[in-house]
Amino acid sequence: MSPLSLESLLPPYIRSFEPYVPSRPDDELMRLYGCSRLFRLNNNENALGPPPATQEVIRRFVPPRAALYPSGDSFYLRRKLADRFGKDPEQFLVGNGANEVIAFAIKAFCEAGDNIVTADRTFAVYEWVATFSGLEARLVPLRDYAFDDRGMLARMDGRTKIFFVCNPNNPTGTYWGRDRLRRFLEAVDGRAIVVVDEAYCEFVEREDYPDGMSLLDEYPHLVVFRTFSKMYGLAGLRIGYLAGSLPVVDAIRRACVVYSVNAVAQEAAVAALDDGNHVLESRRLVRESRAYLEEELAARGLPFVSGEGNFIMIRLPMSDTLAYRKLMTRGVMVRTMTGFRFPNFIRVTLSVREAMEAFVAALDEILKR
Amino acid sequence: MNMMHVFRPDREVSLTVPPRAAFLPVVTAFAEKSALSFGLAKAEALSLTLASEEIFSHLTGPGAAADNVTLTCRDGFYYAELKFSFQTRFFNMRAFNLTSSVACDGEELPAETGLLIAARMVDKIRAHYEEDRLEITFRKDKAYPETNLGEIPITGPLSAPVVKTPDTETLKLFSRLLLHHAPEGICPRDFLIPGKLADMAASGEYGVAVAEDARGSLGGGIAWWREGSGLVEFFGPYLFGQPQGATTGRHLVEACIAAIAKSDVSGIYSRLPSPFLPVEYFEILGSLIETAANGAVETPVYYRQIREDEGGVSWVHPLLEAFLRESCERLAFAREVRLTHEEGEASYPYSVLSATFNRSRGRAVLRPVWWGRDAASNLEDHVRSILREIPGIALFFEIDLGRPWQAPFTPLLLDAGFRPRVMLPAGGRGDVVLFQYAAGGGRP
Repeated sequence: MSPLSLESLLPPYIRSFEPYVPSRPDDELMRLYGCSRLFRLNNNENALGPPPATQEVIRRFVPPRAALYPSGDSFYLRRKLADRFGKDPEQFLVGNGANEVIAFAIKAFCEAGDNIVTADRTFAVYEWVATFSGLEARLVPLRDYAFDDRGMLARMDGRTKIFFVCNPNNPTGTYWGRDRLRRFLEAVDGRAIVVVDEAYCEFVEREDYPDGMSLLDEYPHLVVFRTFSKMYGLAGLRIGYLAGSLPVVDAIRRACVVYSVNAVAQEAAVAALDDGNHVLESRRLVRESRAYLEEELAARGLPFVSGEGNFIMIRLPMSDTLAYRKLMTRGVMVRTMTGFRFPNFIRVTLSVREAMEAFVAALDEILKR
Repeated sequence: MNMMHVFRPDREVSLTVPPRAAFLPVVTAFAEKSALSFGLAKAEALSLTLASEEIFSHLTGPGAAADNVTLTCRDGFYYAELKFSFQTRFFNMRAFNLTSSVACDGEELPAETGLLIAARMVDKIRAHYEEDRLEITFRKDKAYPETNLGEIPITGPLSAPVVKTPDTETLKLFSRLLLHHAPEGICPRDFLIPGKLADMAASGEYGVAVAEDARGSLGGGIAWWREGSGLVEFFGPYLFGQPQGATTGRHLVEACIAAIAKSDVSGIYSRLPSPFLPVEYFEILGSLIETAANGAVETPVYYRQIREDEGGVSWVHPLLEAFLRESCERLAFAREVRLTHEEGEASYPYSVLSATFNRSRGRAVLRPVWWGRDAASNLEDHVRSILREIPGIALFFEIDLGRPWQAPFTPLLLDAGFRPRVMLPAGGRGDVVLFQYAAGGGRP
């Protein structure tokens, strides 16, 4: 039999694309690095977990129901979201994490020769999905750690189909205020879709932070992404959604995989939306943790970038990947920022006091040596 | 940025033929025409053609190739290479050893004569064997004219420098600046040939970034490349006329890191550290002994991991265990160490080593291609032969800890006077340990 000729079977953009390699499971990492406990400060998970009512829904899930298909289009969750935001249920699409809805949007609007525009140092999945779909990802450098609206508009051409704006930005925590976002939406003016990824919006307490949902009626080319992975602590169940105008969502639905969201995730998400206290408690935790960590970092003369969201970015006087390994041996897992093109920075999730103290103690040790 | 071999239809042609002598003219015509089409001059194309003739003739012999042979000729911009790919269960690789000689007592030449001739025709050979399939690649570099346009003066400190990917003319200017102004011993000789550097960058195997100001004055640059493994070697940053403490070196390093940050590269390293290197971006893996004008100098190997470390398995001979554990502990690499032992299993009679020379940098690197029972004498022959040919050359041997079959070379290396100096994390299939030869040394 002739050898399998992958080179001729694969499109060039797949051949040259490098797959993302996720971290190994915690117990494997602990065994490898010889630590007996592990504080996960790498993925911006909510240390409080899901809201109590949501935890109860998960506990009450009847195992035999696992044999049944879930609602293929998250029927009840979309109704709940519609009630919550004063929209039509058809304005929502639910996916297996926000990553999946990114793929839905790109598949719906882009074909060979098209491009998307986003920032060079932001959540990587917009760029990845575009690249492995054979599309050009135009990456505009951040300006003062924030998305550069003028720079992005300057990269737009007749083949630009989608702008991705991460608001607040992961990992810098910067955000566009209401006026700036409006100006941008007006400048694009229906010539392209503007996706505003609000994965961390529930953590933001600033007055001028725009609620994308409230702008949907005014701007039919706006699409808002949200997730249950961060504030609502459902990262392990993988559930996120998008919202937009009816014609736009109807278009995206054509590229949408149904039945990709499991039954537990749908029910847990419905319950999560009702728990306002959880949001307040999580914000309080993040606020206190940020204050503590900023003070500790300042005391050590370590520069940091601290904005919105449950994370903070720290510049180290050493390689971030070396710091990662050394922190791992001390049971603390952070996110290196080289992959985000911020060499020597780490991103740390703002978590409970015990974890933050463990991080600071470990940081002291590795910087002392 | 493209940092690896990417299939491009206009740069690669292939031919599949049965291993029968009748097809020899087809094979040689294919090799010659494609080499010429890809820019080799007549003389270099002829070398590649002769190599193809010798190896294909060998493959038509009994038991060599079990099935069709596929030839692929690729344009590497500054070289052309010809790959033979075929199924085989037994292929005598012995003749590819640098030190092979052919004993010819009678009228008939031994079968490996052709392989030996092929090996000497080209600039580089690499072999890869997996699941009964062997790939042998021959590479021939293009010849470049020597140009000398005189010294290019350097300009003063740049005002508001911008780091960018250079166009061809800027690359050639960068090359000339390196020739006249780079400190000695920190720049590969190929970089000093303007046309070659331009082609090396155009090939996609090398990346280059330069710093220039709005008037187009060039203040420095950095280059990097990758050859097969998960590591990228970088050179520089080189600065021209920039004051001490200028951030240009840092910006060049950041540009290099940004260019590969989202690739599958696991780390970058420098064995020729520049005096302008911002050391806070790097860790020191160990050191190598470099020969300089004032004698032997211990030179640090700077390294930076790009991806978060995933841990891994390292297969080591017991004699290398202490070195590996010390390296992993010092550098905080999580490795599961597995010891290898010889337990009476059968092995092939002949070993094969590959040798890569870099005369301008005064170094040669040996790598195992095949383990065989004659490994000790083969290694000795290589050491003797290389040192006789180039006295004083720095001699290295690389063992890939991700390939357990290479571990038995360890005691032979120690006996022959090699010492483990540096562990290159994920430098091959697994970590690579770089041994350096120390004259007169035996096993410690």
